[in-house]
Amino acid sequence: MADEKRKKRTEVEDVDRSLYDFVKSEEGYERFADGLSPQIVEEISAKKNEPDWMLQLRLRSLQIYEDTKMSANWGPSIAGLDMNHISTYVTSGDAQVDSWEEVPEDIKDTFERLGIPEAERTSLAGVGAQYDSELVYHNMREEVAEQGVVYSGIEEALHGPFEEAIREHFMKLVPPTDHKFSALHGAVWSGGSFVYVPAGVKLDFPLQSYFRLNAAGAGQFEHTLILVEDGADLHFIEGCSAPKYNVANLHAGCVELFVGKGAHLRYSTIENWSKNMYNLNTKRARVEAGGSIEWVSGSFGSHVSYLYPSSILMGEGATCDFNGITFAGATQNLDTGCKVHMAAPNTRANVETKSLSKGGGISTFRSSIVVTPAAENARASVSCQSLMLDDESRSDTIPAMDVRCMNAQVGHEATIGRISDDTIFYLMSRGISEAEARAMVVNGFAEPVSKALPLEYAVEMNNLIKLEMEGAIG
Amino acid sequence: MSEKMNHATQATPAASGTPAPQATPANQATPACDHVLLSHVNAAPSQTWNWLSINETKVELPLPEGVSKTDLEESLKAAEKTLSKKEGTSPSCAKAIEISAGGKELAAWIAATASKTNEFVAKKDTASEQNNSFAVFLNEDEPVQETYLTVEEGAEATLSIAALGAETDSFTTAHSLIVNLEKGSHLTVNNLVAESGAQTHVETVGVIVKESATLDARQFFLGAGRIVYGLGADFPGNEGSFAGVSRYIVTDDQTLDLTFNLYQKGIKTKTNLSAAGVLSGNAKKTLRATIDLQKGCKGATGTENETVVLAGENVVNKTLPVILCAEDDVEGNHGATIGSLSPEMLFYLGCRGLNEAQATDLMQEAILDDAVANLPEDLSGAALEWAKWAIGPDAYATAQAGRELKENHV
Repeated sequence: MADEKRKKRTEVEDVDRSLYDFVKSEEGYERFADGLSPQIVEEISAKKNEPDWMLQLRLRSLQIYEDTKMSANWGPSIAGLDMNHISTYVTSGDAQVDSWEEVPEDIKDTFERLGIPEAERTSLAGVGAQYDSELVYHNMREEVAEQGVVYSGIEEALHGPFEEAIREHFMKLVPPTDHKFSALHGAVWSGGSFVYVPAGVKLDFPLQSYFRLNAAGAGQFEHTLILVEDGADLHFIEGCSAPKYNVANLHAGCVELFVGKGAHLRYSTIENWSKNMYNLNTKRARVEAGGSIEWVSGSFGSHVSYLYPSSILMGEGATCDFNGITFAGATQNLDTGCKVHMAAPNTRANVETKSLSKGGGISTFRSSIVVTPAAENARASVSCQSLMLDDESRSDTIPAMDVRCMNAQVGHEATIGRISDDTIFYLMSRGISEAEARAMVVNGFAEPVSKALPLEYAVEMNNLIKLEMEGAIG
Repeated sequence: MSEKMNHATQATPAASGTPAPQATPANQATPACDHVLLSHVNAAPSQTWNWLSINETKVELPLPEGVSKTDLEESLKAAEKTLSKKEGTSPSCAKAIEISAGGKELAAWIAATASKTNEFVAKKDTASEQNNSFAVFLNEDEPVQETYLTVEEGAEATLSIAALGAETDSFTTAHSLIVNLEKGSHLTVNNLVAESGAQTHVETVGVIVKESATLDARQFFLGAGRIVYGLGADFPGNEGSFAGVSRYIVTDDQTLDLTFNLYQKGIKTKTNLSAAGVLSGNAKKTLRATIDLQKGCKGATGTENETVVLAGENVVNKTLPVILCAEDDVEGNHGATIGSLSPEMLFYLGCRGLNEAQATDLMQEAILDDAVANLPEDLSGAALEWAKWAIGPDAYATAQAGRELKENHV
């Protein structure tokens, strides 16, 4: 009996995720057979009428995937993911359109519920929406297009004047040899966005891509390629969600970001995949002299995550800021963090992460800071704070530093602990309930990340935290 | 009541008095035919990306006299499986062997090569304190040794370990230390490694820290071509504690590889590791420090910090400070500062007539002075002797003066 009471106090109840957990029928959808084979890869390529170089890249990637093993000595288990039960391509068959009115009703309803058209009307310069394996909607404000900005589906761009640029950059930052799931991505990628911001153009409003995986037992493999030319400025937002199923789903997307000299790119992600998702995503940015990359990353969903946005600071004075929060609840094992490679003089990196664990969730912060001999006078600072919300959960920090330049300075600090009783007592003595007090502390803990997000996304993140905190106090 | 330590080794021991083994230089591409390669040494319990080459290290060690490579490899395999399962081995001893941070391969090599085994027991009511002071000197006569130490309930003990060599020496020194600290006992371990740039020193340590027992480690890694040191400590009892101070000087082409694995299980256990040192020339250093706050260790605290001064164009510093946490009512902290002397510091020192090279020398001398001031007499004397040829007469004179000052003051 006492145990039961204790469990009630500490265990997380199922939260109401109806905002994300709704399923639409797949009737009439085209779905490729589960598993992987050269035939499936060729069919995906043929369906997209791709140039031959892309087909060859896919086939080479498939071979690399088959030849590559997952490292056995680190990272969460993905034993529950069986590629023989994953379909790599599912589509409604509807063509991509640039008006919400033309989007099929059930898909439109999905994105309406997620608030995407509303966000587009109020605060975005352009929106792309992917449903399962294909983009269903893509649009950008006219005045933005007039500045020469290109924001389209990557497959669409592959058949236009940017084919050469795509060939030059596609899977060059994240080669198929990077790891097993980058190879898988290279073989079966489908959908995703291409963004080109010409030199000197600064966008006042963000662009956003939203990825929804509706199909059960399927994978989503979108590819995002962004070229921000010298002196340009872009804020790109990525959102993702899926309904929960009893079978494993897979997300193995790839994001490649090229930031030119003196350019600035902020890449924000609120990831809220369902808790049957294996999120094995790869994100990487290359930053030239004087350029800057800002990552804002909120990881709330997925059953298992391997997610480490990486920044390669190639040019003198290039900078990287990483602000991330990870909230691991019941049934989740989220291995997140970042990598920074400093390869030029006077580069700067600032990493601040927060992680929360609750209800038996496992949160691991993993990072690497590599300072090469060329990174004279480089400066890096890493701060990682972890909050344990109960004694059922787990929180690990595994930061690595490899410094090979005498004049570099690298600082690192990390703390793991719980909300102090004194803090809760103080707040309760001012008339705040224990649950509210805890939520306040957690929201304050997450503030550096929510501050870096546009208001409506900060609200969404705070709502996600609120959802996760429900039932934390009994 | 102390648990009896049984150390029986099944692999072929080298006869005492045989020539001291020599490690293959770290930069030699092909292993010599009279050497064996150990591939999983000083492994971190929770690992990360393999491309960083930080999870563990490899070390080539010489074959014991009269033992073939095949025989040794086979005996290592066998010894790895049976090290902690030999007849008569107490549970604490078996556990200490299990968590010994250098790893089973290294422990097995030492077991196969050791020319001397030390068995020490520290008792509570020893008439003279000296009786609970133990020393292990690894030198040309006895370069590879195993030590088993039990500190009985409520007893206090000191263990000094020195790995020593002269300027022209090239033999390998190695040590395996297995310690059982009974309830309320206290142990201070002093480590000194002061060898030549042609020598290799390897050491693996496993310690069981029972209820309210305390372990203090003072380590000075002053020099050797290659040093590989791993300490694993298990805290099954409540309120056990560890305080570790590790200082190092790594110069020229030297390599230092350190691992600390601290497994906190008991409530209110406390660990604190402070590492600091200077890297110059082409020096390479790796530190893996893991604080594992396991389920049930309520009220435990774990702290690790490192300060590294980079003072060479080609230095490589790798740090992997890990905190694993499966309990909410705990505090885990780690911090690291890696860099060169700041322009402000250099300016300050410049105003006092010191250029950058002299400032770096000063940092190294500070570590030597620290060793001389804090190690017991026999070890501090050895550190001074080493400094005479390894750092230079000025450093020797300064450290000697500091030592005399301390003695007079005392």
